[in-house]
Amino acid sequence: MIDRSYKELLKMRRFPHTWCPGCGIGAVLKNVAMGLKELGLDYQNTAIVSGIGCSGRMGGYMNFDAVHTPHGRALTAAGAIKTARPDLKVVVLSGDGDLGAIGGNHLLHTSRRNPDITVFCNDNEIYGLTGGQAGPTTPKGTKTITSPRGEMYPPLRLGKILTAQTPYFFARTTVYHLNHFKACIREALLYQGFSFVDIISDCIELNGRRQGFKTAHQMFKWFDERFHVVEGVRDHLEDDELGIAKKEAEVEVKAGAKPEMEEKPEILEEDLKHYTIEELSHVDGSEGRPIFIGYKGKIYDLSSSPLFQGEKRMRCHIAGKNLTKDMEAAPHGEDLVLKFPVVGRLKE
Amino acid sequence: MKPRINVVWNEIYCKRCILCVEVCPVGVLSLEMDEIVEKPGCIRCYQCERYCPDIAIEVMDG
Amino acid sequence: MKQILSGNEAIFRGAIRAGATYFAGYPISPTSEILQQAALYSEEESRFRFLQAEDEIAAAIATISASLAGVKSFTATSGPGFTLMQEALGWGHVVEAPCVFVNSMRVGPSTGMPTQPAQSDLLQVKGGSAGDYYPIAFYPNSVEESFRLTVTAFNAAEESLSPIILLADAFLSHLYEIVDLDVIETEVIPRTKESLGRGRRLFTGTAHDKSGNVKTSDPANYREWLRELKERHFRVAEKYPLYEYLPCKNSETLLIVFGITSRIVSPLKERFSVFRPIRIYPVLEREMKEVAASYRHIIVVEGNDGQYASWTEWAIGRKVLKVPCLGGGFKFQWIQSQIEERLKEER
Repeated sequence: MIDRSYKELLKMRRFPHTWCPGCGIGAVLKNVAMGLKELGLDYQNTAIVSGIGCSGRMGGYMNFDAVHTPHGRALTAAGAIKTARPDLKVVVLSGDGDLGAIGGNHLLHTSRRNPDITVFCNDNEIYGLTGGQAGPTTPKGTKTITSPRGEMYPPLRLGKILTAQTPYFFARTTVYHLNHFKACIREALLYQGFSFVDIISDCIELNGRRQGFKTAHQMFKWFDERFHVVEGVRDHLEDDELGIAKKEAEVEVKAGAKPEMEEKPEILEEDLKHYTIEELSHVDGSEGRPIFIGYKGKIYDLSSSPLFQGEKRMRCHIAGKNLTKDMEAAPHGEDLVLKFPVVGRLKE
Repeated sequence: MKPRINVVWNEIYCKRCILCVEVCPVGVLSLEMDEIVEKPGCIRCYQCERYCPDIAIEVMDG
Repeated sequence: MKQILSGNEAIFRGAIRAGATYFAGYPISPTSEILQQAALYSEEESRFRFLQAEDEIAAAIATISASLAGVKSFTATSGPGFTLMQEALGWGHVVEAPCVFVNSMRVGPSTGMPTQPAQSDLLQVKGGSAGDYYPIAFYPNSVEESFRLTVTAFNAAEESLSPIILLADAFLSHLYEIVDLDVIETEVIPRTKESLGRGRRLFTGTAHDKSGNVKTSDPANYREWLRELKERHFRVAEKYPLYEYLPCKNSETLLIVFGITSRIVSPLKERFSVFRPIRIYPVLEREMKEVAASYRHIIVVEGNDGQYASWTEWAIGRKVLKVPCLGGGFKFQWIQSQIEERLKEER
């Protein structure tokens, strides 16, 4: 049995789609739709952004609100949509030429800003729509109509660029390694932050045939020779590896600074003053008083926090309250609170 | 939509890239007279359906 | 409360009054102050989002995308940045995204003279992007009017579903005047276009039909779409036939001036009638024709080499005299002597 409910997410009445026979973009479209369906994403909680080129046409076949941007601008558009509408999941469907060449600057800077968007790059190593010109990821030596003696320059290594600065999520897969491909789509969609999936895909008509391949399947076999799957989550991927490279943001450690824990004097729990909820509510930073909050039975002094600005508030948290429940909903962990001095205990 | 023995083939969606023919591990599919046809022997591995980029071939349930 | 405000600040406050909650920009003189204001404002108002983009291309695309996502958005730049934004402007017209582009003009082409004022981006306003489209552009001449027109521009954007261009110049951007924004009453048109996440539409720069299906080889569909777009834009433009006309008794000469040039020649209003178009594009064809009919000489004084003069000639169907100040220094004495000279040549 196979779950075919993903078809609800595709505009099936517009099929057959526009791409050539055997083109990998069809596989990208289908598997991304499957991934979205699996995670319960639909037109009410997701927006699709695409660029220009063959792969840019994917947005038009998705049963979502889709934005088809000018050439290269998909990432900028996606970032702005995410900023304006944080409630929407934003998925970018585009190609290597769009994202790596004309949109190269936006790729660098969008990844630096790390918005919570997911990018699926149909990397077919060629400019297909315009007839098969060498693209930014065309391997050196490949003959194309604009590199008749073989491409002169080495390709842009998206994997190296996108894993140069933390945090990052970069996955490389191919349309042939289907299970791996699906796993990458799922992981990328689940990742909080800028996730990029480089999908090695075939352009049989305008790239493959010139290189001597007769069918898409022969190109798939060639992908299998060039790449191999590596298990688990890595720090980096080599150019011939298929897998997921993921790293969290590095915490900056100031040179010479001692770890904070050592400086904290030992406080005996019995010595701490007891506060009731009522007493706590007065120590909310107003009228020059310190800012206390309650968390898991203890009172913390957050007066020195730069995030508590002005009266009583820190973005969405309110001072002088027991914030134990707030922590569950907050996007940050409890370490943000634990680093502040304990000044009392909360009377139940 | 044309039903075969174990698969249904959509002749409108299909672009005759013959990916299904080539991925079939038991070689029961073939392109004859511009049509995908099926010989007996399907092991219902779903490879043709999973690989088809045009959503043009489906293995019948049951 | 009366306060001293620059043109840039007034534009920013106007956008906030109109309900803008998104700004994207890239530093460029003379509009960097708008970017700075946006950055500061986003600190105090969490609903307001701000992006300092990597270039003007990204800033313009982000502005339009945020608009599609459902918020009122705007960007600000100057000539060279406006050149980079042309791609997005064309796209904004096709995907029908209401937003505002502020272009404070400085001397061009290219980097030109940063930051000397000019009025030489008019042709760029009209047709800097590929293909046919019908932008609407306003051009104030004072700090107070900058505030009012920013609100008007946002309203026109909501009605025409397109990026509206608000022109200014380096003079106006850095002009400080005393204004009281609290007493200025403005009408604000709310967003009506459905935001993303509500349907299954395709917002594409490719020719398309009403539901967004791509139609790349259907000229009839394209013509119908363009006709509708044109009609809508001209209908909205008609709603804002903004100009200022100061007739002077016994004057046979009409000066046509706009933006900062109108402030420079204001001592001449005792001698000549003055017509100041505020809606720069579409050209105030009918209004200008009516006013011009009673004058023997029409003189266009502008900070470029005759861009608006050629539009005026086309609009009123007769010869106009030109005083092209180009960019950089605008000297009253020089303008006055040039006007005298043009009139002498005519006699």
